[in-house]
Amino acid sequence: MMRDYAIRLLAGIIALGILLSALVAWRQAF
Amino acid sequence: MKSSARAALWIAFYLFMIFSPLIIILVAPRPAGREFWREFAVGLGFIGLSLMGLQFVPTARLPFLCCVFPMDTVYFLHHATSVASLAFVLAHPLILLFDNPNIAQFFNPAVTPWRVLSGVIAAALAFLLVASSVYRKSLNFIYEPWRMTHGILSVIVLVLSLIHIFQVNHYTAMPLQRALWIVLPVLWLAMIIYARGIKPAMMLKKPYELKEVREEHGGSWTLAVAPVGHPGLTFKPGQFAWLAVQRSPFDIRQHPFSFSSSAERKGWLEFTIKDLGDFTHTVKDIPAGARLYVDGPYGMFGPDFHPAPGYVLLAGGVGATPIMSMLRTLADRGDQTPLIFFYGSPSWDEIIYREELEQLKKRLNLKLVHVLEHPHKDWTGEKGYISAALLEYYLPEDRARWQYFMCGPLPMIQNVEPALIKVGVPPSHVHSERYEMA
Repeated sequence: MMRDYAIRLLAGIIALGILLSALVAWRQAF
Repeated sequence: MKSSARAALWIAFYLFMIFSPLIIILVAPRPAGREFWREFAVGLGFIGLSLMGLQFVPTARLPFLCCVFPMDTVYFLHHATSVASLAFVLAHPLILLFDNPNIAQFFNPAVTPWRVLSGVIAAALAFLLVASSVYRKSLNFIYEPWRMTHGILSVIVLVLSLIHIFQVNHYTAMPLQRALWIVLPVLWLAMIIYARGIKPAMMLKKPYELKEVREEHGGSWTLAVAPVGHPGLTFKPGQFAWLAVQRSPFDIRQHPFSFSSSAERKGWLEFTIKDLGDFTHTVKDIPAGARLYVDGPYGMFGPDFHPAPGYVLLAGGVGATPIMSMLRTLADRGDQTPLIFFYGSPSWDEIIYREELEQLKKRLNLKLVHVLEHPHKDWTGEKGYISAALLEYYLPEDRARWQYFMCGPLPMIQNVEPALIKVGVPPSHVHSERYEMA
């Protein structure tokens, strides 16, 4: 069951990584 | 502090470390003349690199982390994160290429500056690193040489990546940014020094000696070891350790095994190991008196970590090893907590600890349910596999308050976990331990 939590954590990291990269890029470019 | 609070703090710290390169960029002054897609690609590259570098943390077997998260989950996260970090790393050049197709010329090493070449080689080696790990079994790679190559390749990838970001100097010019990209690699290096230097040196001071090798049913062998010149480690039932058998603790050839002995028996450790044809095939031939090193204990699997009014234990084959440690320990403690042990075995003759389990029933409040895959014709017990119907029949009314510990082959765990939930067991009460971690 702990693996389900690990999968959710990783999914969160991926989503946050993409969002934060986009946010940084937006801030730097515009 | 409660273990859930400690876990939350560690996760928060882990997330902060992953995203620190982007947080630093956000707090710094906004540079002029930057383009969205290029900056987006750089951000993804940074996330990929910090994720890859932090991969040294879960595999360093840090004692303070091992009692917060189950070890097999930590290794699972290590495997899954490696694929995610590779995707981030590869997205970096692909987006740059999409944004500016002219940079395709950099794939020609003759004209490529070193600042780009280092990044291209790092990305290619990262791909090799992850692919060789994901497909290790299908490619029939032998574990030890693979693990050696895996470690060396990881360091090369990270060094080349650091050369790349420092030479491009896009986000390493400011002192804070430069400091971050020094602190992060120092942390990675500290993990390597701990895992490969400090920990083995500590193990070297605490050797163990093989006292006996005992044959068990089902092609399994029990190694009994005792400490030499020190009191020996203490553990909780259900935990495991890495063994370096007849090798230096600095040798990477170490293997994880659950303790099968009672945690109440000081200065005596037992590990039951099934002959599966690899290292385990040599166990029976290890001579008494052989030198061993034990790295442990690890894991948070067992009743000591999860108090409950009753415990259900589920095992398949040699997965009974940690369960046996729990039963022996609870018997030595005179604990009369109700226990139900569902034990799946191929046949009656292959039930490991068969006779001792019958003896333990007299000392414990234990209901023992053998489930045989290939029963003999006079067998009147349970047949086939552990199923929802079987669980429904044996589990008590207040099953939702009990804790469940399961150890066995992956197909068993994949089938029994949903079966437990189906009969009303809360998922947070199901604790599974898989054999494989490496």
